[in-house]
Amino acid sequence: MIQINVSIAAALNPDPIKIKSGDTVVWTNNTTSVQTASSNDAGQTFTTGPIQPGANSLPITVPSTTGYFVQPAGLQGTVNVNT
Amino acid sequence: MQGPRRLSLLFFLFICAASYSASAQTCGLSPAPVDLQGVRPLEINTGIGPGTCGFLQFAWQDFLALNWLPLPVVPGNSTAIARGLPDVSQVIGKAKNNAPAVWEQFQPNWYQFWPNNPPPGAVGGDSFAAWNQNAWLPAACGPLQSKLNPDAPPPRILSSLSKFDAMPGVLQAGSAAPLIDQDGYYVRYEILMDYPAFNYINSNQFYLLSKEQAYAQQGQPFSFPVQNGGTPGATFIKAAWKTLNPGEINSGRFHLAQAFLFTPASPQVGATCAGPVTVGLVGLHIVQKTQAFPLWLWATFEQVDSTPADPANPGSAPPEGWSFWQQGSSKPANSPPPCPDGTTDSSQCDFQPTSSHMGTAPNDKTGGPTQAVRKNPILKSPNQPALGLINAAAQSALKQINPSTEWQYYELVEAQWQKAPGFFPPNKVANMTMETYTQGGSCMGCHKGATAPLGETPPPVSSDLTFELQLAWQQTVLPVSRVPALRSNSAPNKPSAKQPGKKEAAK
Repeated sequence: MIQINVSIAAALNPDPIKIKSGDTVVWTNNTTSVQTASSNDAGQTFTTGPIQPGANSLPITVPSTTGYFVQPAGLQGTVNVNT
Repeated sequence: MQGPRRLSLLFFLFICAASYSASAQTCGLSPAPVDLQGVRPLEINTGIGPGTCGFLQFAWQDFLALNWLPLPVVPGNSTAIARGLPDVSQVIGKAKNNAPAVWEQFQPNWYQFWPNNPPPGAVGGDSFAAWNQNAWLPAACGPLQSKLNPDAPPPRILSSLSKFDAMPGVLQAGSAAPLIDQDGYYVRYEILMDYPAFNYINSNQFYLLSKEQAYAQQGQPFSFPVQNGGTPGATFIKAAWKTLNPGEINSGRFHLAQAFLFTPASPQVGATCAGPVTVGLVGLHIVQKTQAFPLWLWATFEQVDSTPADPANPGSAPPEGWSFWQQGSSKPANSPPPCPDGTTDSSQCDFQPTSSHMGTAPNDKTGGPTQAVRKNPILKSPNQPALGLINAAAQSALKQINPSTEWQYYELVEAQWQKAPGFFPPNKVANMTMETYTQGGSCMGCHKGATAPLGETPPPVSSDLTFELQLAWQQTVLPVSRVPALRSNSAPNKPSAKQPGKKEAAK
């Protein structure tokens, strides 16, 4: 079980995120605005909640492969969960 | 003899041997009034020495039984208790550390005290239907639960940032500050109750202020039930959970759960529900009433990696470091963090609960992780030497059951009970994860002042040492939206049961 750190800035890095089942993902907000990362299914698979500038999100256990978006940055990414 | 039964017997024999083979300074788990098959103790055996051993033995027996693997919940059962029952074919410590525990099936206080949405009423004095159904979820959490792995243990819904903030939507003025772990995340809390406590409130409709007032006007004291037959007395559970990093998850030293972290709306932001997140149990209060001790037995456990038992002699750090303490830190000890914006009015605070708080971000004035220092070293407890002896005996027994069980990494920090009218030593009892900033007091010292929220007419009356009755709501308060739970809070690998429909709260 590992943790993947993803930077939210002008782009998402890394993207796509490749993890195994049970791994966690932490998003770091490197913008100057509050950001939220949520799965494309209206946040049904996961949502980070608001991430303050310069802060990390909670370590989210993404249960299944999903696309996601970051608002208000308007970024889109993918989490690939290899079971 | 079947495997699980044999293992249980071996467990029992082991602790018997451990107890009898030592000197008079032994305090183990035997002779036991229960057979250690998940059965909760009913009464304290005060005759067991040395000193306070009987009380501490009761506390550990309760801890073991409450953390037993539970039977699956039957949410639709309206004729018997079908939630929070042990699976006596199992043995504690044999399951994975993310398997649910009996107490995790107990009902949370926010389910019973949800404004304008009480559980189903009692029938014939019992509240089986209300007890067995799955608690409603805050609307913000509803969408997140639909895609969870049905074979995984059910999620916790963790709301409070402080154990004093008992209910979503009620961020009480003057509530204690949150605790920030070494990764910068807030500890989350929940309060649950067993069936006797739940039924006492539900059958009397004490979730309504008007019912509490009418009851008090009759001159009747509030009195939760003691044990009855084989049913334990009323019990309240308070749990503290820490967001875990991968090292802590892999360590096998924490009891795990998947959780959604719900945060009620603040003046600044709406309600949020983030997750799923892997959390670890770091603190557990068990408060149980008995016939002989109607002022309850107060016992509190911690995961051993929280902070050193004695800060003056911290010893070696645990493999993943201390959860709430850092060697050599120059930060002031037990300093309540301000709000992230630097203000200190917690009733108006935007806690920014879904972000880390390391104190390094531009707008994070929290100061970062709390330096939590134990003011009441465990080795200096008035309950020593029994406290140390029974902790060692229980941890050893658990390790014998399974060398990798997470339960061996939990310890009884302290216990308290009435020794004489108005006399409640030790007078300093604190769980580092729940009373970080109030270690000069004690459970009973605080709770003896609990009253029902009756105002001046009639004057406040004692609420039997629990603050839960203060959550009673006026029938005129605005409804809080909620959604049905889709999954049963039951053992893993069992079919989930869809919650029977009930109208969502009127908008």
